[in-house]
This record gives sequence, C-alpha cells and structure tokens, in this order.
Amino acid sequence: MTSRTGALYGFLALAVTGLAILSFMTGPSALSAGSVWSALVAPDASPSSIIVREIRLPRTLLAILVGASLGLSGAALQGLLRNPLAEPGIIGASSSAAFGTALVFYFGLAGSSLAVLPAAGMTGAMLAVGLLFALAGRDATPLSLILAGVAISSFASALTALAINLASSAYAALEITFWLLGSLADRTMAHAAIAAPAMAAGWVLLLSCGRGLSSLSLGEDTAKSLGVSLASLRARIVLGVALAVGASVSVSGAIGFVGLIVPHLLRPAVGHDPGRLLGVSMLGGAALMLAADIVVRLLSSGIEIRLGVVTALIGAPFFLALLLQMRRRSG
Amino acid sequence: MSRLEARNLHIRLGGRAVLSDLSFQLGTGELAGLLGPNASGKTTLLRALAALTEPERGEIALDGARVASLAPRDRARRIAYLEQGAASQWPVTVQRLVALGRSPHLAPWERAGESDRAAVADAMARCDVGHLAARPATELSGGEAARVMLARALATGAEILLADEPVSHLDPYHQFSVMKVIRDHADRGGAALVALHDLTLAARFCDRVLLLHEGGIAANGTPDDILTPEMIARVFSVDASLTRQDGLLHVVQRGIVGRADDGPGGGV
Repeated sequence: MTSRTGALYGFLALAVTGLAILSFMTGPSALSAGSVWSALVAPDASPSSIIVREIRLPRTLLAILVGASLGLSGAALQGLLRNPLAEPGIIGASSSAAFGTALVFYFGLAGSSLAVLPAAGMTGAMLAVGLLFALAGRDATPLSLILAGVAISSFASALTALAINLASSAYAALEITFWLLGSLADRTMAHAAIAAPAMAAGWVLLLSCGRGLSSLSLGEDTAKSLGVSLASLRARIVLGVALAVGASVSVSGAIGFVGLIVPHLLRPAVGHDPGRLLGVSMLGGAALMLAADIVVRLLSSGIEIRLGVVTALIGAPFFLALLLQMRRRSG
Repeated sequence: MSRLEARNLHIRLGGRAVLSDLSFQLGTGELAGLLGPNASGKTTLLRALAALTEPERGEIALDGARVASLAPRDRARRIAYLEQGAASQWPVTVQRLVALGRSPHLAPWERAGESDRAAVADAMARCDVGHLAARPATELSGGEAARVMLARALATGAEILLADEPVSHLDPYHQFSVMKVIRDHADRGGAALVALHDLTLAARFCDRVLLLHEGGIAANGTPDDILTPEMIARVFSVDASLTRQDGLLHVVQRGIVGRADDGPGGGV
C-alpha cells in the first residue's frame, strides 16, 4: 500500500466514523454526542438510550453494511465489464432481488419470519445470476453480459409490476411500492444480523478479485496471459454481487446509483487502478449511504422521504453527466 | 536446446481451419520471426502458444511439459504474451501498468516485494520508459505505448516472449529500438517469437524466420535461406528484389506478382 492509498483509507474511515456519529445524533429527537456515547457504553432504560440502541444503531449499522455492499459491487462490476457505467442494477441483481421481496409482501409473508425477506432477496439475486450465466454463456463478453442483464432486469421489473397490479389489497400494493423505494427506517438489529453474513461472504469473494481486475484493464487476452482465470473471476464477481446486493435489497429495498457514483468519484484517487478501487469503494459507499440517510432525516417532517428516492434524484443526473462526459471524450 | 515446441497443431476457428498440422521448435537464445500475409494464422499461432486458444489437435510443450497442463500462473511466469495493439482501459500510470507484469508472481492477497520492484525497474530501463513512469498509460504516443507494453511483458521475467506485431504502426526509430530490446531478451538466454510484416527488419534481427502460408509452414530457416524472390512471390504474391549491403539483407518490393509494372498508383 502506498502512503497515498493509506491516507485515503484513513480519510474515508474517519468520514465513516464521523458520519456514523452524526447518524446516531440525527432524528425526530436530536441527541447530543454525549448521550449517544453513554447509551452505547452504559445502556439504561432512559428514552434516549432506547432510541440509540433500538432505532439508531440498526439504522446506522445497516447504512454502513448496505453502502459498503453497493459501493464494492459497483466497483467490481465496473472493473469486470471495463465500463464506468456498470452497477449492480445492470446485471439484474437489484431488480430480481426486489422482485423476490415483492413476492413476500404479495403473499403476505413478511410478518411470518424475519428471515423470509433476506432469503427471498438473495434467491431472487441468485436466480438472476443463474439466468445471466445461462443467457450470456460462460465466456461472456461485457456486451452480452450487459444485454442479458438489461433483459433480466426488465423482466424482473415487469414481474414486480404484475405483483403490485394483482395485489389483493391496496395495503399490500402500497407496502410493495414503499419497500421498492428503499429505506433504512424502522429496521432492527435482527435485520442487520441476518443480512451481515451473506454480505460478508460476498465481500470476501469480491475483494479477492483485485489483482485479476487490475490485469483485466489490459484486455482479456493479456489478463489470461498473466495467469488470470477469467471464468473464475466472472463467477466470483457475479456470485459476490448476488450475495452482497441480494442481502442489501432484502433489508433496505432498492437503493440505486450508490454503486455507480462511489467508484467513479474515488477512481482518480487510487490512480484509476480497478483492483485498488475495491476496498476504498466499500468505505466510500458506507460514507455516502450514511450521509444520504442523514439528509433524508433532516429533510423529513411528517412523511419521511425514502432513501432510494434521494439516491435516485442525485444519481440519475450524475449518470447523465457521466454519459455526456464520456461522449465528449470519445467524440 | 529446444524450449517451446508445437507438434502437429490443428486449430479451427468458427468452423474454418486456421492452422493445420503445424510443427516447430523455438530454442534458447533464439529470436524467430513469424512472417506471413494477413490471415495466414500468425496471431492464432501466437495465441495458441500462449494457451489463449485451444488447439483442436496437437500439442504445445514447454521444456517437455504440456503447456495446457501448467497452472495458469506457472505458465504466465514462463511465457509472456504481447498482444497486438494492447492498450489500457483505464488511465493508470506507466509505472503501475508495467508492474502488472508481476502479477503472476503474486498470490491473490500478496503485495509486491523488492524483487518485483527490481524486475519492473529493470524492464522499464531496458525499454527506455523510465522517464514515462508517472504518465497516464492512455496518453502515450504510439512509440511510447509500444515500449511500455513491451516493458510490461518483460517484467513478467518469462523466458519465452511471444509478440504479435510489436512494431506495426511505429516509425523507423521505434521499430528498431523495440526489435533491439527483443533481440537483447533472446541474447540474455530467453527466446522470442515475433510476428512481423517488415521482411528487411526480420532479416536484420531474427536468427530464423517462420513463413506461414495458408495455415501451414511454407518455410522455416535462417533469413538468408528463406527470404528468396521465389519464396516471397509464392507466399506474399509480391515481386521482390533482394540486395545485400554491408552484410545486411534488404527486401525491396517492386510490384505484385504477375503485374511487375505496378508502381505507385498502379492499384491492386
């Protein structure tokens, strides 16, 4: 690790820590840093202590976990597809996971067990990945991977729309719709505990791809000639993304564009090396998600603005600007 | 001593036989030129030797061991492949790009060590790209990029270098300097097989040339023996005259076979 990368990790870790503290302090009842601290180290039965432990701790923890998962997945996919426009949504993982969770609401199973939603989300993401491999083949080019991803994504969205359409009650339809908007409100530690192991497994798979992704920036032939097994690299990334994103969607709903924005902003800071981008994108994703979730709480009075709505409002123009910038460069 | 050996190689791509029954050997210290018209199978042969494409039949051996049975990283430490027109997708620095050549030497979570840094510095010095170290790899001139990519291939420390048209689109100075580096690699006990289009350049630098024609070897031997007007006419369909000056072979193309009057503007 060069000293510059070390400094970047330090800065991002500091940002995540600072934002996490702010996240504990922000909400309908503003808390001081001191009362947050005492609630965490010396829990008692006071209201502020309960708010910190029961409401703000899971919310903050999930923002970090989900943000890290999305940032890392985006960085890995951009490296694999050698395309700065790639993100978890593009291989159909997000929308298929969302469809899985929508089915749970459709059948009214969400209340039956806490494990149902994550299981459905990950199953959806896994199915998408399986279908992706079947459609694009084992030696998929970036283009065929993207096209297959778009097809899967559209189909999953259509099925989700069908579920909303056929929902037995207006309440169920509303529940699905709100879930799809993405939020970290009203989650419990049980949500975090259920999602964390799958996310961690996904992270390990994705972080093992650093050197392969760096070599891949010279093209597939050169990467192979450097000893990279492309089949294994693709499998690890697609599976890693399915685990990390599937688990994320199942606890937070669909939160888009984090996987697009974070790697793009951090790329220059790591010398554009797709391998080195992985670790910093985790921290960057966590920081961005914490910041967005704090903004959501500051803006909201009465009806809370959904986190996924905020990231999309920021992300979509960002995507467009990126596209224009790329076109100008190639034109 | 023979290092890399191809035996009865048959390769089909998209249903078309690209190479049929091709056999040859590459020995230590040898720089062999791979010559032949477009679509004669040069790139396919180099890719097969680098285990990037699978032969339908036949075998490729490195020091007697089947290349296909080597672990990818073991193979990558011993055979370097320089792709034609290789370029970086991202604007990484030249230093970091050349350092990618060390990846076959590193376990997935291992960091580059002193020997890796020394190999990178040595490869950069040999290719004279040290002054470019901090430049983005996507903003190099054609000549600079060619030398940087060659340095990347040499940084692997592999004995065998397979280079696909490393001097195409380069000015005479860079053609010469790139070929000198490859010659030097062979002279240090390595071996190189280099696809070329410039017959004079091949004659100047190569110990041996391999003439590919329609997926087979039309001739295999020293440039002096192989590069004759008859052979050039048969393989390249050009009418060439060969002259010798200061012991160096010069190939001058006078026209297309059967149409010797075709000069500039003569059309094809």
